[in-house]
Amino acid sequence: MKKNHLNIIIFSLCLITVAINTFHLLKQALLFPQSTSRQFYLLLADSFKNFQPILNQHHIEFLGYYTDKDMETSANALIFSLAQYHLAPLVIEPGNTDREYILLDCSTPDAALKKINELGATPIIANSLGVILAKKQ
Amino acid sequence: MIKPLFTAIPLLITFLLGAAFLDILFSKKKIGSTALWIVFAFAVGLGITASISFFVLAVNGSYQWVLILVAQLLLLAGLLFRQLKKGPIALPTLCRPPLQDLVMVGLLIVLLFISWQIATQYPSGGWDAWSIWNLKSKFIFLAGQRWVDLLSVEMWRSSPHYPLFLPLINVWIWGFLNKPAEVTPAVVSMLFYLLIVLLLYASLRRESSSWMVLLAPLLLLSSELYSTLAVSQYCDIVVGFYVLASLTSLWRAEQEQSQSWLILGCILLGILSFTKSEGTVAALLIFLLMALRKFLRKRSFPELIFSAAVLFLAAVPTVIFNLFFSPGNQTFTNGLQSLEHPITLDRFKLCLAFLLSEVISAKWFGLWITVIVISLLSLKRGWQGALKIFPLSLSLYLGIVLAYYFVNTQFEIGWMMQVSLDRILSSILPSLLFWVFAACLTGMEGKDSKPDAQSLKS
Repeated sequence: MKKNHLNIIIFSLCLITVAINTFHLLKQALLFPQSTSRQFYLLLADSFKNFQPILNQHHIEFLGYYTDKDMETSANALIFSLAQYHLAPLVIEPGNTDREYILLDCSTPDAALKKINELGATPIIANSLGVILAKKQ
Repeated sequence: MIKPLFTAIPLLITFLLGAAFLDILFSKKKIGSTALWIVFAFAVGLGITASISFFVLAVNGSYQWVLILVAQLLLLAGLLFRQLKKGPIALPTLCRPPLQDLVMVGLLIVLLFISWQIATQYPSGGWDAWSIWNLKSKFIFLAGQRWVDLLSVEMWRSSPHYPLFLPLINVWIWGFLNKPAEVTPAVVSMLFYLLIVLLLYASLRRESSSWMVLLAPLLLLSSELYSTLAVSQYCDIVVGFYVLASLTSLWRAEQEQSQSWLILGCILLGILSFTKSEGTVAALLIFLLMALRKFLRKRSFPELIFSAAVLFLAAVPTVIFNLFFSPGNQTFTNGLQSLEHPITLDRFKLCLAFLLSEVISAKWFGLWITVIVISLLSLKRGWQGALKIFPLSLSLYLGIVLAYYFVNTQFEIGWMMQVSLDRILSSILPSLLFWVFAACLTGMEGKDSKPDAQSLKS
């Protein structure tokens, strides 16, 4: 193949790819302002805000975490990760219910209440995701 | 107005540090262009900032922003004083830029706007970004002496074995803002995105004056997926930037037989090793390939030992981190030994199937197909001379990462590939684009693998 022909092929191929991608990018850019992902994320981020003053007030460094949900599932792992991120630099220990303060993420309110009673704890606050902060007696 | 200013000041100090260091390493003529000077000044400066921050963190036991600021200002003053003693500092002269460069600046402004739109969609970045990198930043900034808790085994979900380059850069800016502002990691990832595009353009522009040079950065800029991954605050954009920066430096070192480029390349490899575990692998791999080529061609041991020494010095933070701080990879199950989760042929087939489906996936809108086709068309030139370090390094790096995914049977392969294959590919894409375009452009202009006198002068 002649050099010129090769150049034309490469140039055309790149231009077509750039054109297709640019069209898609601009289409997406116009859609961004209406995107619900930001609102959804902010809602999730806000859900642990109310826990912070209580934990800060008592200078908590470690927090127990109990869940009866499958942590292999993304949605359940997301709740734990969100709690860890928003409550950092506090360390949340999954499966550890020996700590004074424990976060409970249960499948039903009844299951949560049962576990709280079992631990001899008192619920302090719950968030919109159904996560409860409890303090052991 | 105050916030952007407090974000700009630490980045300016970092840039000046890098520029002063470059001034020692290079004379103005050799670095090539103002754009390259800016990019490499940031590349080196960010490495110095992260290294100083890490030493303070390791020695002091907690993050002390004032100490880091003083150390950097003292180093900057020392470097400037050393240069002033020699004579006036040579800043790149600004002359009327060619139309092509103005078009590039215009494109960068458009990119800035669109990528900021994307970045604001996810204020804390992608899942792995906030749960790994931003979490580490928060620990370092807020936990005082307890920052080491982030390296505990219980924190396995946030990959405590990853080095701290990116978190330390975020925290350096937070120090000026006096709070862990959510916008900072987004600004940092945008900075790396801009640097990567500028480096790709400026490096190719130095090779050719053809308008085709613009197509390489345009392929990156126009990709929605690449832009999203770039500004989602993951560390892969940082890895991608340092892979491209070190490869182009080492390539130029051989092209121009330049000791300065060789030292810069090895320094950048050292910094690359501190970005992520994959970065450490990439740095070692690139260095070994470079050393092997040098050994086979020249058999010059002193030069090899010198390069290894520079790399080791630049990688001291990585060495210290891995020896004394890292708890080791907590999410690794060796499928070669495990009876419970052994490797299988199906797992291997799935690895390859995912790779194939990723490159032809509609989400890339033909970008990878185009890159593969161009690389096949310019294959002969791409494997000539010093340029072959690019395909060798990138293909071996991809091979090693995929082999790790295959052997690490801790997680289901489909999930691992789904969440990270596009990020891995995005980290090698800029270097791959440089390679295919460099091969293509040198072929187009009938250049040899060595640059002509004109391009060196420019």
